[in-house]
Amino acid sequence: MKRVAYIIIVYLLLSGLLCGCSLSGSIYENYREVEQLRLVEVMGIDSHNGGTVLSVAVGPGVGQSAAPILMHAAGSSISAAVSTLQDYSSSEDLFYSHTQYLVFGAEASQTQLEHYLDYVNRSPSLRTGISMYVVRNGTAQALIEGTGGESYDLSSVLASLERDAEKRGEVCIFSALDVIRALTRSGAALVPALDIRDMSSLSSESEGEGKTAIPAGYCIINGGSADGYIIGKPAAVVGMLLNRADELPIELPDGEGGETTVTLTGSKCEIKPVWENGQPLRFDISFDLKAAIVELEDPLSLTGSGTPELLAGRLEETVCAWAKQVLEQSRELGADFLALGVKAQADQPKRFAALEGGWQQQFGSVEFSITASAEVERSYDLTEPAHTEGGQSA
Amino acid sequence: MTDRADTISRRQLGALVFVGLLSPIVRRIPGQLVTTSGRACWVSVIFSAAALMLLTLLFAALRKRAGMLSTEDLITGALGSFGGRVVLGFTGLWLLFYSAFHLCAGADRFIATVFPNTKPIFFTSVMLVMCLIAALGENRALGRAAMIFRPVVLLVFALVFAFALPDVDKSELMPPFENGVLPAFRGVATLLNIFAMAVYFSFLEGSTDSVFSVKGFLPWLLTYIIILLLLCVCVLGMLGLELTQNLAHPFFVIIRELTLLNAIERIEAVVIGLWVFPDFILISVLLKTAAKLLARALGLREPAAAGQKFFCMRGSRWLVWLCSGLTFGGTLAIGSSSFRLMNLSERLIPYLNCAFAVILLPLCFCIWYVRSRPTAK
Repeated sequence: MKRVAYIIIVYLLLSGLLCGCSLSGSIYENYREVEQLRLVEVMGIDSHNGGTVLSVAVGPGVGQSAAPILMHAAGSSISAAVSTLQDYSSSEDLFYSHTQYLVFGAEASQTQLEHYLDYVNRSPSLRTGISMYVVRNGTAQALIEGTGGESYDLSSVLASLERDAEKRGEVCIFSALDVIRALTRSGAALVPALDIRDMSSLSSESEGEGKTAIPAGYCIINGGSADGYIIGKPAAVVGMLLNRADELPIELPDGEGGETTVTLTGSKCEIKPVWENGQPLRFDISFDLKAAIVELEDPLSLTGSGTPELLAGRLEETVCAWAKQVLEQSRELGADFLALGVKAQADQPKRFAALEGGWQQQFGSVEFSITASAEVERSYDLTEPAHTEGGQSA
Repeated sequence: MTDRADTISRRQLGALVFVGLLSPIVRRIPGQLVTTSGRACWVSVIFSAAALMLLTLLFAALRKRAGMLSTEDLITGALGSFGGRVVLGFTGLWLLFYSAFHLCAGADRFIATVFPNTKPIFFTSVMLVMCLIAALGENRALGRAAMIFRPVVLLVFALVFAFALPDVDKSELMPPFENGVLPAFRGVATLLNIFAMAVYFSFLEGSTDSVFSVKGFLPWLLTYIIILLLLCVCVLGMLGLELTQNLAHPFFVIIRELTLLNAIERIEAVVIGLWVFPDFILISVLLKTAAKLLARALGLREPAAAGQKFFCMRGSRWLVWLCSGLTFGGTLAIGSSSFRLMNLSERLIPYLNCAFAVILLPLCFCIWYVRSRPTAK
């Protein structure tokens, strides 16, 4: 019996220490009832007059209505804005641990991105593995509060974008951790950019349904702040350079004013540093592409046995031109967002360490030799275009 | 004066060493290892295998000659009664301070990762009470606990590595020798300093049922090397060199980033919670050993455990309570500042550990080994 009594005493002692009661700073302060939690799904950060505007898209909690809640609050810092948001959220606790998306406004990315990334990295509640975006033509608040409807919010839009656009390689999604890691090692990183668009511009039936987010290339982060964007068609080559492109549709000029669309069925890129005595460091970049014909604007203009080779040649030219544009932009900005320095260092550590003035200075004078080898492998089930004018010509 | 009724099997002692060492290893590796050896930290682990093997062989030779003699007997045999008692006394006090440090480090791990804005006294008090209960109990009870904890911890490692390895960026591991081979060897020194803590567990050698054998120890040493290698590869490959250096708990940060089968995330609280097992084993053994060494230094009987009631103070058992009190005082002296803890962890603890575990105690063993050399008749 004494043994049982001892065990009870010890359990009471331990539970007394663990419950915390109302003692300040006890572990009980971290306890939350699951019914009281509102899960923050998207967190938007904007800079405004030296302060921070924090916007959140909050998903429904357990046993709560399905309507998403969109909120924003301003403060001198993120922490102050978080406190203000919590004050507004009545009886429920805003829970940031399962935040999936982190969106920065254009101004925030240009002015205080380093500070915001430090907050994300330091926070015990936020994961650094969350996807990161920059709004190119507006604020995160406008995007979060303008996107969605009664049953969905920006998180649904971004989830769809990640499933679809990343699968194709049109946009490579990077997490905050990827960005922090790239910035600490190469001093530059890429973040997918978003444009805010009115739904009415896409469909007359969508009139009045608000805004949506569409991929708009990449924001170039250089030295801790946004330094430019890779926009338009060349942005597609980033996925290829990073070996993350698959099923990417590419429009090729057919030489007669029309366009032919091929889709990548395979893409490999090899980046090799070439060290030659007395010469600036050169990177040999070679693409090995496989594609399939998806759409011919003028089917009859590209018939015959030479069509695959002709399209392959055009694909090679197009990809090389895009790669050249992106690499030159990287060199001009002095932003090594493709981590070419890391490749050079891995290839020849001693020669890399001995580079005059360091890599940052040398990067402005590196040369690129870009080649591509493409093969158009198939046109799906259609071997020759159908002659729709057959009856007239006969 | 060793309590012969309180014996422990060789397998249980092996489990105690295995689980107990995980506590300092996960705290210091790969963070501190990266500071000394940079990107070559994973190479340091491979290099250290040879050094650890050599040390194991040397220890086996020592124990073969010592037979069932306790480590305390070796030290008093090497330095004489007075010198031996002084060394044992200082070692006991150091172990108490080390226990206090580990209690604070365990609490800091919880605060930094799961329970922000909490006071460490809740964690240190609960852990100390649990360790006091274990330290007052028999060696074999601790050994059985370690035998249960070991597969649990191994399973956690296996799952974490399985889910983390696909996210490893290989370019972060290369080139390992950007600053030459020397940093890799410096990393070996860091690893040996951590593994030298196994010496503190050798004070249980006198209570074992058989002599130390290399054959039984080798599979676990190999397991440790594989764990360390994967730990370095996963953390460095996921977080990169700079972040690994700057984070206090990089291993737990990579767990925070893991998503299991696109269904479960934020599992770090469970894993960090599991890490109380290594802390519990380590601090209990340190408390028990410290009480034993102080008893020997003061010329008292070793605190009895076998068949004793919990609150019984006879047979020097009051020393275990006193040691717990001193450890608690140590935690209060160290305080709640994580900066102070980090400072201690980087600037004081490794050097004191090196002084005792790498220099003083092995030196005593060497002296005993030379003195006990069989003379030709």
